[in-house]
Amino acid sequence: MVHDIARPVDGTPLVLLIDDCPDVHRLMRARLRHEELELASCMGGRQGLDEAIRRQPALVLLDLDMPDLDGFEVLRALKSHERTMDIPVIILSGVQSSQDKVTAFDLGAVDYITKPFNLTELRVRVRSSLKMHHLVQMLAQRAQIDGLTGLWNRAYFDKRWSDAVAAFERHGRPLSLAMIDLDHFKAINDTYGHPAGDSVLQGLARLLQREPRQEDVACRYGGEEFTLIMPETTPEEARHVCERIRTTLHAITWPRHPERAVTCSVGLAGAATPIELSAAEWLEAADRALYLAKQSGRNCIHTAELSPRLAQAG
Amino acid sequence: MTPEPSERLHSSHGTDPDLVELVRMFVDEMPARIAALQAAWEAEELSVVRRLAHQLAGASAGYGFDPVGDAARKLEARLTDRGPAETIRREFDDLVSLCSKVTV
Repeated sequence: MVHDIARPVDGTPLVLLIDDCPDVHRLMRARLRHEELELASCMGGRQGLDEAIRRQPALVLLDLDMPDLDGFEVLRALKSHERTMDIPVIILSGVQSSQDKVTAFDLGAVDYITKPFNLTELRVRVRSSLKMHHLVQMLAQRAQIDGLTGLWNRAYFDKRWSDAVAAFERHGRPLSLAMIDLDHFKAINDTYGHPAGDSVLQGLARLLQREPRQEDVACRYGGEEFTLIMPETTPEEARHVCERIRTTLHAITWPRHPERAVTCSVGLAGAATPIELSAAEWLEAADRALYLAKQSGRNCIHTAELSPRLAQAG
Repeated sequence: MTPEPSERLHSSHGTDPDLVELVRMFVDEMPARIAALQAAWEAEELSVVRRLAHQLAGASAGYGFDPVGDAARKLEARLTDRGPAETIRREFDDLVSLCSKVTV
């Protein structure tokens, strides 16, 4: 789910039309030609369902009366599958029965269009559903973003980190995790006030967005603690990235307290080859390394020793 | 085969630039649809007739041929409800007759 939400909300929305009648596809394509959307076609219920799960469109236009799998069954399946349950579905039907409409809404359809389509009505309903979907996606994304720093929040980190560890176990590519904690943050807050503290948090967040590479994921873990997930990165490479962050932060002159530099301590846990660690254990290892960095005088990086998987060692 | 002028059924979307190509295609394909309807009828494959009628019902009005859509919907409903054979026969003939009149 995390990656779905992380997918850019902008861009041309994909609309999936599921209808067994070729004419409806032709007509719909002509009718929606000038809309900002990409139209994908499926000629049957089963294929449509598979395609919806695979491509996760922003909107499904669904015919009710199809020979292989009728629209209600497709709708029920879409609404019970984790990957498609949030996709809005508009029912298309020539059947003008109000019972069908009630059933469709009960099953989770957002709207209902009766064939033959009135051009204006079709466009307005499609637009309105796409807009609603866009807003809901944006809200879902916002719920995972930290308001002060604009970084991903703890909830997002938890999911993304488990995903990263799972991918590491599958593919055996290097993976590193850094926990970064501002030194003496409470003193900065107490001495210069909370707005100054906030600026420092935002300053470090900007570094975390700027310094790493595109595929790295920076999160505000909580308080003055940040995490940086670095896929495809060995502990040595990760150490360079963190070293750059540490020295750059140290060199910043802060407008609210130019006389006072700010530093951070970093706990690093990475592996270039398979190791036997759960996501939680790995995170703990990084946390312990952070503790040791604090113990050895702060403003430094400590790298955890992760032992290689026993099966691989022999 | 071209119907007499008075017998022609024109598309109400015949001048819509988005649709004119499609309407032409629909009209060109109509003889094949009529042939398929008649073949299914003669083979007494009423479920096939019903499906073809269903498709015409969904499509015809979209191309601007509302009377064809109405006739197809009527026949589809009659076949679904298993109405009297005489009525089905008459409505089938009505549909085929209307289909043969379509033109851009």
